[in-house]
Amino acid sequence: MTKKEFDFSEAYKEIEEINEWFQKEEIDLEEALDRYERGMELIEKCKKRLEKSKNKFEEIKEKYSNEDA
Amino acid sequence: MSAYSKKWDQSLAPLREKIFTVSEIVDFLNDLIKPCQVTVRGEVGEKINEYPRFLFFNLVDKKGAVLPCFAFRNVLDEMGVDLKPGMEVKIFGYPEIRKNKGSFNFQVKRMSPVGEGDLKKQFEILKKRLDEEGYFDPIKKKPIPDFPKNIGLITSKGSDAEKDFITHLEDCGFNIFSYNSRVEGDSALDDIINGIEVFSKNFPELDSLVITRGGGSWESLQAFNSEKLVKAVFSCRIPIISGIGHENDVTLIDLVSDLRVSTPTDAGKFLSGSWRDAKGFINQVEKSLNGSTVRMIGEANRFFERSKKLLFFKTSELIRRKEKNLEYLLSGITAKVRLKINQFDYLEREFGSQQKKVKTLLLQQMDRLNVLGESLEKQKSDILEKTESGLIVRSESLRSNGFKIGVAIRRNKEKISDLSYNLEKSKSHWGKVISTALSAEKKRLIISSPNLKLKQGYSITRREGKVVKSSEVLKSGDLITTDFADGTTNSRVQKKDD
Repeated sequence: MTKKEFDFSEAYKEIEEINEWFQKEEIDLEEALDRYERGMELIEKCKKRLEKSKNKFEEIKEKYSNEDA
Repeated sequence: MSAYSKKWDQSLAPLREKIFTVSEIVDFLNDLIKPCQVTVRGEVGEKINEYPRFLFFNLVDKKGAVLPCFAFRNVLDEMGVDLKPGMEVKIFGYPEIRKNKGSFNFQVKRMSPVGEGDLKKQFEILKKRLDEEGYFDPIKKKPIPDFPKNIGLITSKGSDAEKDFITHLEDCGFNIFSYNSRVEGDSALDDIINGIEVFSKNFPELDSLVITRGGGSWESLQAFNSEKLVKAVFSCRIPIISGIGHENDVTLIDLVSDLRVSTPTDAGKFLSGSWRDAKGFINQVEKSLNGSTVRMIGEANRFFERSKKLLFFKTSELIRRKEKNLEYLLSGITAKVRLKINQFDYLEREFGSQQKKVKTLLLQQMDRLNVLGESLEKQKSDILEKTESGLIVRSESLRSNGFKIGVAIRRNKEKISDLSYNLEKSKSHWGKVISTALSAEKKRLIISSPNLKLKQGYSITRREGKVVKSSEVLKSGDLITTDFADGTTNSRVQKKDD
């Protein structure tokens, strides 16, 4: 749970920023290509995260109630 | 006799002859009445005898009927409120005859208040106080992360609430840690509070903790109106989502929790919502980015195409202009070369006409000599005829003279034919010389021309029309002509330096 892994939330925020940047009136082609590349990379990662996402379920009462009792 | 009594009468008929002991009859009666598990509604009587582990009270109605009741303490605890005289309650249980006392009691297994009454009053007072103490302050609420992943769950294992929650939690990679808890009655309170403590201690990094149960009577939700639970939720560091009962059932935990949803289903939907929205949004951004980029590249390509065309046009224009210049220069050179060729042609023609004149002159000379020869022959024969007879003496000398003249004529003829031969020979010789000179001149003429030479100060000297190429041929007193670029002068040689 504490393991450092791909931060979906951060990637999502960056995608939002990139998307917003692309809404501007005039955009620089070179920068656009850089941002496009970055955006696609993040989108790919986010999509992967959204795909392999079976929920896990764990009962914990038995495990911890003894410690607490 | 009622239908029930008739049935009893028939079934008990075989026992009419039997003699029971006291125990036997009490047991027998209990066997008959204990299976009669029913719910009874009534008002709590005035007298309540409470003991540490149990209590006695009467349930009465307006007709004056009295049902003596017995309940263990935990039944009362599970109800969540104190029992007071006049309180309207529903009790579930069975009748029993106490064997050792012979008293009849209704054994209460579960009981709950009926209607709002005291409960509501109690709830409103507590709510007001906790609100004043700041427990429901919106500013104090902890935000739920945008994309929750690790979720704690406190609910009753196997309940509809648990099923609804999990069913509506889409597969978004959630890690759900479920803590089984009772959610109704007084012991529910301790379970829930214990669950919150377990999560706070062992799972402090949870994104959210969901406390949920399905709908039920107002009375059944009393654990969630406890002051103790409000304080536990308030001090928990994990953001708590409460989903208790139905939309209308607002409990105190709903007021203190960081987010309130109506039902377990809504809790599941809420947690999945941001993930589901993200899927849509990411797909949309992907399309939009692809669209924008393709459009931009298209525009850039069109720009390059336009620039290429413009550049091509400008370059062709430049090349056309250069070509024109070259053509102009070429035509200038061609004209100059043609001029030079014309000059050569003229010189060649000039030479030809001079040669013809010389030839004609020679032929005329030859004719004249022939005529002279013939005339001499005639004169000779005339003289011979005239003097043949009388001048025999002189004939010798004459013959000798005639011979001499013939010799002279022959010599002249030979001379002329030699001259003619030389002339023919020199024609081809001169032809070669001139053509060599002309080709040399052709080269030289590119740089200079005879006229130019004359203009530069050179002059041509002739004697008797012939060009003098050496001073050796000149003698003092010779008449010479000198050609300048602009005319000719005649002069005489005075003195010659050898």
